[in-house]
Amino acid sequence: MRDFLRFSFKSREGMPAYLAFFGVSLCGLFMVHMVLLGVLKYDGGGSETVHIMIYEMLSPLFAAAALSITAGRMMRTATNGGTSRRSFLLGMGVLCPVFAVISTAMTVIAYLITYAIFSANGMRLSNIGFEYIDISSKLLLDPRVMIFNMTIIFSLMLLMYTLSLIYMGVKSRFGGKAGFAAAGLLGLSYFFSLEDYDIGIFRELLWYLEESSNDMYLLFEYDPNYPLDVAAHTFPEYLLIFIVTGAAFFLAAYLIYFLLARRAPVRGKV
Amino acid sequence: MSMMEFKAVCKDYRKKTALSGVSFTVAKGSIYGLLGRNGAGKTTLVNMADNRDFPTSGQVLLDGENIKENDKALRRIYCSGVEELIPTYMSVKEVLASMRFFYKDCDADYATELCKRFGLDPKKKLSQLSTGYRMIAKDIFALASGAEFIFMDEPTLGLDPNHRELLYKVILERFSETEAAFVISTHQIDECAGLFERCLIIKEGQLIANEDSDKLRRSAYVAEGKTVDVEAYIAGKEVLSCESVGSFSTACVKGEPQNVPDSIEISQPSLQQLLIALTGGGE
Repeated sequence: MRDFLRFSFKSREGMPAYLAFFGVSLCGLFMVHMVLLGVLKYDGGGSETVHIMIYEMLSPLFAAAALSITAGRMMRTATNGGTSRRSFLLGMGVLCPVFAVISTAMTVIAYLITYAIFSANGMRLSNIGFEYIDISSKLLLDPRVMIFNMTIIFSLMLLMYTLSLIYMGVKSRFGGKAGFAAAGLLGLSYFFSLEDYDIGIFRELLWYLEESSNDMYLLFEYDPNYPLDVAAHTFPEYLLIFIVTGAAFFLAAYLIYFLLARRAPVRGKV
Repeated sequence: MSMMEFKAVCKDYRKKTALSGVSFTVAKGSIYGLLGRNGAGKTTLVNMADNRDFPTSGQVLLDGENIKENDKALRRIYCSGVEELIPTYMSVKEVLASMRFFYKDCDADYATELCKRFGLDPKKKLSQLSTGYRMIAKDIFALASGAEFIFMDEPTLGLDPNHRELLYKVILERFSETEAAFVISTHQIDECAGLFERCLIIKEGQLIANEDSDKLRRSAYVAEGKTVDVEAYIAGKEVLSCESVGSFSTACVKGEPQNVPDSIEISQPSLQQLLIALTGGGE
């Protein structure tokens, strides 16, 4: 596994390829923001806060796509290079969280750059942590909000990686169309769970996350005059709830991927 | 001496049995020809050799150790084939650099020298190469890998006659330098016949011959003559194939020629003729 990890971090097919795919996606999202900024300026946009969460919502999706492409190529190259399936799959278990951390950092950097550009034009760009906590706009760049923001993005990365893992696992056994269908169904079930807590198979878990984040404003705007209104958890506990939830989804999908891909043949184009 | 052993290897797909109880040994210091018709199971067998695919039953052992999930054993084996497993956006040079993560004895200098001999620009991306040159690149990866057991599936596919001749020469040179075991699956049988020390012939997923090349060729003979004479001569003999054109017939018969009448001409079959006879004729 050590050789595979060295290969995935240093060779062109590994991390550089992933970063290139993801970096291009972030550049695309940055351009979307710039177009949006132009439109808002044209419409006479003033000093209001812009409530969009394009980076937070779309970058995990692009990260998942980049993971699928990179992992597929790495699997073929590594297998061609005498790497056992077990070493590859265990290596992927280490790589994915590392990729998620790096992707999260890149997303936050892109957000901060975009925020600075919006600020220079008299606007403020909101972020997902801030939107969830629903607190006063003075706290937009509070370090705690930023850390919470990063935690949510990281958890979303792990959550979106599950789509990628399910796609790759099902594809390795039943073909690309089946892989797309399985990942699509999983994505829909996430969507419905978030949209409507009465349907969707993960509604309880996602509802709990929503509640936790809504509850967090008590930490930020604690009023000593009303001591009964205290948050159910401490700040690190809230962060942990998000990380553990993302990790639990990721591990479940990783296990399925591991079992499906372990004995699947590796094929390339003829 | 290091050995690779295929033990009762079977591979079943949903509607087809690709390999059925195939057993043979590959020893270092020999070149093997893996021969058979299209769809006989040659590529499936090569895929089993490096865990690209797994047998439904049976085992592949290297010096007694199962190669399944065995990185150490797998690094001693290199398989090259028609399938594009290496990303085509990579250049030959980059592929060699990435191979060194896994094959510690991969010889980049030797690969560069081969690129020169074949007229291949190592800085070109695989996607920019023609079919023939892409195959040459894969052959170079296999030869330079430093692996002890090298499986080459259709190494001459798309190569012009000049490059084919050069490839055979290079394989022999490399073989004499490294004594690695080469298993070459090809349809250019007569061209490669001089390379093979042993022949493995597969027919419909079963190994029907595993013999020394010369011995295999000597195990049968060709009888030619007028159809009436040939039919009379081969009556009661083990006939591998018989073809008639007009009033003239050619039969490939197993065994040694005995009591040959003057009207019959006897000759040694080429490896290709023998393979055609053994695997069901030209139909």
